[in-house]
Amino acid sequence: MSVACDIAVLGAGPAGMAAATEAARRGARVVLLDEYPAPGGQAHRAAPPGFRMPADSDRRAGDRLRHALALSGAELRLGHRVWDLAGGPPAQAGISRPFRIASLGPQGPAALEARALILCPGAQERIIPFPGWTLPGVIGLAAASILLKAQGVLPGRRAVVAGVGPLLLAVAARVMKAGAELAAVVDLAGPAEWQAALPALASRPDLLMRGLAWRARLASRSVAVLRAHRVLAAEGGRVLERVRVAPLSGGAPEEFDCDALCIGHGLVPATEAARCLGAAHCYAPRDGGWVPVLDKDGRSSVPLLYVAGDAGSLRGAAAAPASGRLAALAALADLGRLPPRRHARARLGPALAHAHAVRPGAAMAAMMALRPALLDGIAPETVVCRCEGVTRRDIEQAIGAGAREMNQLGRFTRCGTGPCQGRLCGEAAAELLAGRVGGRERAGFLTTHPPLRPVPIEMLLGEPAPADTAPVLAPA
Amino acid sequence: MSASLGIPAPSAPTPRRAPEPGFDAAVVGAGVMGCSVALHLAYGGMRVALLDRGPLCGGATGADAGLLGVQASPPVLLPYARRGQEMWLHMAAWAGGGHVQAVACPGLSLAFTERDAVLLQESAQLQRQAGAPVMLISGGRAMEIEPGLTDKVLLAAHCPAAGFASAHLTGRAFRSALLTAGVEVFEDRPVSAVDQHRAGFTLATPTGAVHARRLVLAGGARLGEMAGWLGFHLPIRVRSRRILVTDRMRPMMRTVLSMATEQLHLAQHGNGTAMIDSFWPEMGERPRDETLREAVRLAAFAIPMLRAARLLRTWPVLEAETVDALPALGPVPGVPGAWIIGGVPAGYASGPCFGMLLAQAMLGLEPELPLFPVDRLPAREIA
Repeated sequence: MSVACDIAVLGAGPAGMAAATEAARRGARVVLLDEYPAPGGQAHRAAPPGFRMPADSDRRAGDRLRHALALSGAELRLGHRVWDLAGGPPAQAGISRPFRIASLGPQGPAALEARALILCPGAQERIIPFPGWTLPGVIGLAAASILLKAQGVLPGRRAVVAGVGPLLLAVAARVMKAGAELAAVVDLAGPAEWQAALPALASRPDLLMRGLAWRARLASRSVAVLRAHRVLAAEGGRVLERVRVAPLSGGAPEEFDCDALCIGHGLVPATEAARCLGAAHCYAPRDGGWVPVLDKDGRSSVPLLYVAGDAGSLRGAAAAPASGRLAALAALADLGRLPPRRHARARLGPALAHAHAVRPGAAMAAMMALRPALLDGIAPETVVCRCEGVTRRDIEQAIGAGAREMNQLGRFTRCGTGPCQGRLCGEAAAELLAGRVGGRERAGFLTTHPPLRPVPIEMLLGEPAPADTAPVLAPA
Repeated sequence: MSASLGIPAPSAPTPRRAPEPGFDAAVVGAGVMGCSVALHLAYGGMRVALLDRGPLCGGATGADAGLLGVQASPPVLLPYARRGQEMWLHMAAWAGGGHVQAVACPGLSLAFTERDAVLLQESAQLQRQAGAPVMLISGGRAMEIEPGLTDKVLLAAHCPAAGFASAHLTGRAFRSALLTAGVEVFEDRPVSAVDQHRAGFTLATPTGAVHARRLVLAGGARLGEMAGWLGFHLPIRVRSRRILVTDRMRPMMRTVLSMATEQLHLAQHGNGTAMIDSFWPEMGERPRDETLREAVRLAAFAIPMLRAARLLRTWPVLEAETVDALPALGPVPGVPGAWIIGGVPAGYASGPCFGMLLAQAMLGLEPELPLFPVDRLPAREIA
């Protein structure tokens, strides 16, 4: 059941595709795993069968990466949900073990052994609750972006698009293009923040032009674009009916009738795989929050474990391929497949490309950094952890009862112990805790154990067991 | 009992700072054992310090599956497990209202094979001799008691007195009781060494020394290491288990299930999640994902409905076990004033009882049930 390879790459987004391509082109045996049936990730998501989407610049960049990947000789394991990661060489000298990657694929449970492992799981949406955020009709910006981009599906007929970051205008433009009415765009960032980000964005004139075109389109339809505003509440009976917004500085709230609210408070690096393998992490708000400690080539604190793309530091899809190639070259060098001088030469190109591409990404990451002021908007009775129905009041009480770090908070309240495994509530809960214990470092993060994602037991078992004999656990 | 004695600190880090007041007892390790000892010592009038390198019950205690009354062997521990279970069920009464949502329900131990059935018959007989009301029943009868059960059960042992607690709440439950009783709780305060002198013990920690006349070692999986502070060799090994949790299912289970082989225990909590407590050969040769799948397969064989659930979370639990699998509960030989508690696998269920018994002995009372002094173990002094 277990197959050995030189390098396994987790996640077939721009970083993973480029990493797998680079390593395979140079002769390594590479396996690239992804949960989705086609490579691309969220940035370059391939259209599902039966959907034909118009080619845009995202699509074209994705197609180039896909094309190179197809020619590289890397083996693709698509439709594989990775649920356990183990092994890897110990930090001190000792017997070197390969990494072991357990997944559930189209043919059932599978395992892969790899000498080196490159993690490219990307980022996930940061959710900061507000009254009404669990109403049907409220969806994340990233989720809306996927719906619109990959499937051309509208989140509603009249939408408010709110939050912060590059997805804000992108989703707003796509909502209009898809034929829905745009009630308002509510941007947390103020004009001064956009001004400050301009020089960095100017290094990517293509993106800047696209942004300007989006803004022009909003202006031509006289859509209300509210800068330095926030959503106070989503309201409605059973479903969303209206959104209440107000300036961040205070002031009179405004109401917008709508049946969809696409809202996102930025992105957070997906770190559960790196945490599961025990890599050291640090809290760096301008990189997106808790991120693995990496060197400039993506080496983590665990030997032969690398992290590339947004999972290491939020720098966007444009910077991801170069960071994937750097990690692949480092892995080849560390495995002894690339002599030091050739490695030094080979990494110059991607290093330069990366340095060029990270500037606009860093500016966007800074804009998307968590804004503690948003925490004030969480009412005591607002649910923070929707899996377990834990409210802000429950969290505050648990902190009062002695919970001072995330794992203890989880034990006391069940916050983060449900099916989302803390992905939805983790940021808000940690921030509430951090405010009381003196910072996110002290609040810590939930310890990660397998499964990395909830797994259906039926799938985990694979073939049905012989019906009449009880399985026996292997003796210790 | 005299309160603060203010023992001068021979190794105080800053001589100008007033030494921390001395305690009658310092308990190192704030799991269920340490919390219970500390609380009962305070009830007895002592001034107690409770120290842990992490949060209250943040180690094996808070991670336990919380299953009560499922430990079939050895029978000599049955009275302790029963007393412990009673204490959990009525925790609010002795812990100032704190509780762990403990509920009572029947326990079923299952045999699927002839070999299992022999094991089950033997252990049921031993348990009955020790006074436990254990009955052997048919698979059909077991299905009436536990509707979620498979029809593949050959023989079952029925115990009316089992149950389960929400172990993750243990720290919260103990906390207010400890503070109300006057115990000084020092979380995130790792002890690096213990200096033993005429007036008692000085505990070195990164944020200053703690002085106490008596010392209780309650370090769970680290008990052997702690005994080493006093130059005492405790023959102990670390055993690991793994807890597996599913997502919420409709309520279907009414019992705590065990396998005759003791490899796995299983219960469904009030919120609908099933909790599987599997004996875990973590240090073994087999890959973790394979052993995990085997544990899930065994659980789903017993309760077929589990096949429709999702596995949400798992985590390891490390425990110390003495060479004879009986508790380390009593004085540390050759070190007056030092006591030790732990070393028993699945110690959660009987933990509050062990803690109370040790406190009784330390307070000069006759313990309700006998202790398990460690001088029975093949100990040797470390040179």
